Amino acid sequence: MTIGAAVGMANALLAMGLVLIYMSNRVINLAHGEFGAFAVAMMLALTRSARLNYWLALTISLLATAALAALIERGILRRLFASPRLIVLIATIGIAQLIIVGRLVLPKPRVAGGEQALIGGPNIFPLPFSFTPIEFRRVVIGPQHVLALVVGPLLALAVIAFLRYTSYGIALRAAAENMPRARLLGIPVGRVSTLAWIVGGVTAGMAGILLAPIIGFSATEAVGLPILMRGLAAAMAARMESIGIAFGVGLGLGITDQLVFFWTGRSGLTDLVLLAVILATLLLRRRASRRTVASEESSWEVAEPVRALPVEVTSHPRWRLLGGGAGALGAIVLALAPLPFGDSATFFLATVALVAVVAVSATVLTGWAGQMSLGQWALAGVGGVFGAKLVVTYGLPYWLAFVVAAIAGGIIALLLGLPAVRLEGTALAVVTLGFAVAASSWLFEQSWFRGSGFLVRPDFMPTTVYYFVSLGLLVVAVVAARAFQRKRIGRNMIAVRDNPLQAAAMGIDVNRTKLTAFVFSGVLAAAAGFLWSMGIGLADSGVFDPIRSLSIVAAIVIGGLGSVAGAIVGALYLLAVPYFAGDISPYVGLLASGVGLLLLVLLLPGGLARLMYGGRDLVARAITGLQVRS
Amino acid sequence: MKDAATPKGLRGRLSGYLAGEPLFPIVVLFLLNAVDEFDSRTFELLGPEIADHFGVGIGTFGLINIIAILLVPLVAMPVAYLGDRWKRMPLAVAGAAAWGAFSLGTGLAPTLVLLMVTRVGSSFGKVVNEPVHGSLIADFYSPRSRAKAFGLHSLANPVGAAVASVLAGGIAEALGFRAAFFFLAIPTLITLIVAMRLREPSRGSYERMETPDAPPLPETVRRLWAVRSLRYQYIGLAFAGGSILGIGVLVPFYLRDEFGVQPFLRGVLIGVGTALSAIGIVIGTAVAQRKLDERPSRGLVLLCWAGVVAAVSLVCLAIAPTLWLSILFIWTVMVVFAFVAPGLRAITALVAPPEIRSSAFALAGLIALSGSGFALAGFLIGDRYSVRWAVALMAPIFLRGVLYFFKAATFLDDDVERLLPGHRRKAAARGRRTPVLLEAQGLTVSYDGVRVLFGVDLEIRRGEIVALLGTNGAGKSTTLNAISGIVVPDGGNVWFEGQAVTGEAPERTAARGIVQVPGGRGVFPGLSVAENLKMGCFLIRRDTSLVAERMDEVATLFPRLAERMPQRAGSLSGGERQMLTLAQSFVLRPKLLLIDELSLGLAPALVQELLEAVREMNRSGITIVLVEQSVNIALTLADRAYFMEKGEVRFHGATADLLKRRDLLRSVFLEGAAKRRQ
Repeated sequence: MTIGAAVGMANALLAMGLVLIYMSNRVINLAHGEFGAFAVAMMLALTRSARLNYWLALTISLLATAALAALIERGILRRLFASPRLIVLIATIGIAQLIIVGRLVLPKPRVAGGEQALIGGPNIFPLPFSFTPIEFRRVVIGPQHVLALVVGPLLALAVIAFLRYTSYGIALRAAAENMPRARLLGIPVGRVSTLAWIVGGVTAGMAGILLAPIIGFSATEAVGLPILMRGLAAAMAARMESIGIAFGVGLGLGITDQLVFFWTGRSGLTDLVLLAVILATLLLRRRASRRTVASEESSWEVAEPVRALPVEVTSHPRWRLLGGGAGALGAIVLALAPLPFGDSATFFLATVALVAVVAVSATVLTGWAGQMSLGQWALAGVGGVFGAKLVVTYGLPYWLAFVVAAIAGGIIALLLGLPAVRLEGTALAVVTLGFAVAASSWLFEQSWFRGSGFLVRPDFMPTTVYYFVSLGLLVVAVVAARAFQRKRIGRNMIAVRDNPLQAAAMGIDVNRTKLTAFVFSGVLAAAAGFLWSMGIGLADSGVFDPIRSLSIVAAIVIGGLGSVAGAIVGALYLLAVPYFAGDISPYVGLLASGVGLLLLVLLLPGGLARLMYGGRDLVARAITGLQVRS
Repeated sequence: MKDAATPKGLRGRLSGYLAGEPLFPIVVLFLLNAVDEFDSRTFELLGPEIADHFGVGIGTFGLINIIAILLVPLVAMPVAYLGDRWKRMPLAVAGAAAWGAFSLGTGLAPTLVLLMVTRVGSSFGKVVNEPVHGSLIADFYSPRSRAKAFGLHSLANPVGAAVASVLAGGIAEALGFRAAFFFLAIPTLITLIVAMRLREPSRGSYERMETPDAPPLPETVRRLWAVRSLRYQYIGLAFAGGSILGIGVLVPFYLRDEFGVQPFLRGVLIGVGTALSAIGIVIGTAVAQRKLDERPSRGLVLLCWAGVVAAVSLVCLAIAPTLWLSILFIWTVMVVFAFVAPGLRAITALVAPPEIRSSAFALAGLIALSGSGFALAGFLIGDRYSVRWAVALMAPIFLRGVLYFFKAATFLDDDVERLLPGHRRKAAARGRRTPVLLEAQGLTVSYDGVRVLFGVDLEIRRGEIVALLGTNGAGKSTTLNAISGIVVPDGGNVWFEGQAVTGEAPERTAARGIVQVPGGRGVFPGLSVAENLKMGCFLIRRDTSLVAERMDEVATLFPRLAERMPQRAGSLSGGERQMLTLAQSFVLRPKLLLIDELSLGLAPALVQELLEAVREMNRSGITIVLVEQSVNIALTLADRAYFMEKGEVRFHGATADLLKRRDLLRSVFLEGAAKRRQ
């Protein structure tokens, strides 16, 4: 109970920060957990590597986090002031990836067992004071809990006082309620929003620092998202509106979490509980509150439709010759690709193909059906982990396991899609993110779901064959997606994406359309996931961690939302950068993804595909002499 | 010298190029300008060797470079002043002699401090080139061939730099860096001797530069800053200039530290890059001129994309694994920089008011230098970590600058248009103090590409109440929004108290004294009444006694609100909310109050109460623009009225005159009102 309250304090702080940022920018800050993780990493670096005093290190860490938050608000969020909120949400993904890189390059304390070891407990994580932990039956209360119980409420009170009594605090609430009016009264909403980010960053940083000695902290990529989920569940329960409720729910969640842990003795349940809370609060409220609805309309303007070439061009003999020639050439190049390269390059190409399949599946879902999924890689993980179980534990032949795994992916996607019947846009994004986190920390760890040991690539599948199988899957995925797009269901999906109400009025079964899209993309993703784990021989939560789900989103945004070719290009970009530049820094992949995402969101919302189609039109104009504009 | 070696054919062609005007002056000035590059290029290229010799890192070396450059503005103004009074040829020669001597001194400097002194001295010497040469060329050549002469003159920079890079690299590799400075001082000396034979032209032999009564400096700067496209270019320049300065110093270090490139090869590589960038200048001039003729903003956007290419190349350069790749990126960056420069100059000339055009360039130069802090940060990082990181740091800084240029592009066309003669005369007349408080001219607004306002003109005088009438969708609210800044107009201008406020953010216009009262949605429902009023006082929040005073006034004007201070505004009735909205604006005591739909959906008794409050505000000196559906209300309050239809003003004048306009009154909703009044 007490421990729960201590954890709850941290949750509550995170939730408050999320609500604050939501108030100022109308966006769920997916980088929020990264603020916490960043502060913790700073703290560790300063106390362990630089051997600073606790309080000094604390001040510096929080100041750095505040500066980071301010920088992000000024440099990125300010620029997206008028953009659709979903684009801003995607931008926060890019921000999260960049902060991860920033955190990982900080010096890490060396602990027995290597750098990557889980760092937990008061003996490694610094604390300002210590006393012998009080033991009370199975419960142990140490200084870290006391710290959380003291600092947490103080900080929360400070935030509430700030909002209630200071000019800027009231201005923040005012701007959240009626932004145009606030500006008309001369309230500098930009500065107010920067302030909100600073307060949000500091509370998140503090929460991370309080949380780390209690639940442990690992210096890996995947630590930020679980922290985010803790706050997100409570913030969603408070409808992103009430700081007070956010605090209360956060506290309650912490206690529930610890009680569940106390009774079951299992720790992976936390994320499951959080997912359940998010789902429950989202589904229970009758309709999304007016604010969330209003801010999400016309979210998909970015996915600017690409105009098909006019018939005069496509039927032009020279164009057909070129198209056929290019197609044939491409096929030959892809078919011969393994020959000149070694095993490792061929393997690399295979992984590109697989990630591209997942990206295509996400395109179907996100780009066409308008269902934002931040858990696409977790769907792949369903195929990978469950398929491995089928092969390793039950000894199923590979092809059968492949089919069953794909079907399992479809089923899980269907389950995941059920809430989508009721939710849209940001809310669904949050649910799928929760799924990604919970899948990684709970589902993929369950003995009934996960096999033990390695999934060995069978003898009949050397790297070259593996490459062709992967490529084949990609071709199937592209052809299927294209067919899907051209058939009625594809048109229905886009209709549902652009205007669900009107679509329903025209007699389209909105729910069925959404669910079909989910199943379709789940099958594709799971199939690719199975091949992926077969390729690397591993299938566990580390391989299918939620960060990669975000990278998939990055891939399709970078490539160009809503375009199959864009998805492939995006996947290629994401993998090629670390492949070719990986020896400069192990984090160059994340860096490329984050930078690419932000640049595109800021400069070229159409994605790389836009450029490609521009090039296509140029070529078409040049060889046929016809007027082409897309 | 080169001119001696040039074949007769070239000489003949050059002479033809300059329409038969004498060649000797331009040759001399060309040489002076070229040898000026000898010194600075040598110093930059041999940076690694010099730094090693004195046992310092990039940081200290870069700092010397920056200090030498930063002190330039100190002497630039006096030199320009002298250039307008003294004989200029001696000045040019003296400058050249100074940098030649200091360049020699650089080669000799035994200590770091002396090195710094020589650097500062040589950059002072080079100051004469810009103002003095420009003035000389203007007097040597007639306007007809002047542009070409300027073109030839500026070509000296890349030519000099390319030659210098190769020579300096070669000499330094063979004999050490000091030797390079010695040998490269020789051409300067020869040029000096040649230059002394050039006679001073009579001042203003063709006309003087047409600079009618240039305003004093602060006014000049203010006026330049007021041009939005220019302002964003300046801000962008601070970033871009800083990173370009940084790159110049970093590249030689990069080549040496990462790939062990020795001076000669380095000189050749950079020399080739410079030669390539000369091509960039030629192409850039042509392309930019064509795009600018088409539409200025398109030209700037093109340059911006070139800038993005440079930024990307910088990143690539930072991670380039092989020498040849890195060379490729260095060249790309150099060519892009060269490509962009002439276009940017042309754009500045395009939007700067003619009489302060030269100041516009001077200011650009100063601002570009102000970014040297960024360069210094890069040098320190280069010292602390590696040159790669320093180069990588330059990329986002440069990109930041480019983003500002993108922003500048959005205002460019409008600003260019504003300089057209008709506009300018009006703007000048407007500068005089008139009772006009607000003037809008040719205001056009589009939502998502659909135009809703078509050139609306308004004139609001101090102290009056003006009604803005019209049918639904006529653009009344949009007009108010465009004035207060909630929507950014895509054409036209708004002046408030004689100053252009077009497109300023609403929080800025509010600070100037324009406050808009939005119809029916002016309160913050979740905040208490007291907090709502407090938000009205946000701009005066520091003056607590004033806030208290205004709150009291509100309490007497709206007793109903005073009773409900702790209540949530969301729990108020519609009329009370409207009151609160008015009160929020009233506490700010704006100069101009824009009221949108005051009476919408309110009971007549309440409306009377609100009208009384509006009159009271007007009596206290607030000018009021009133948008109303209900003509009755508007006509009882307002002195003058504007009548709008389909995004245009159809009528404006005294309200009494409006009633005589049968044609307008036939329009649906006015009819009833007119009957009632008659």
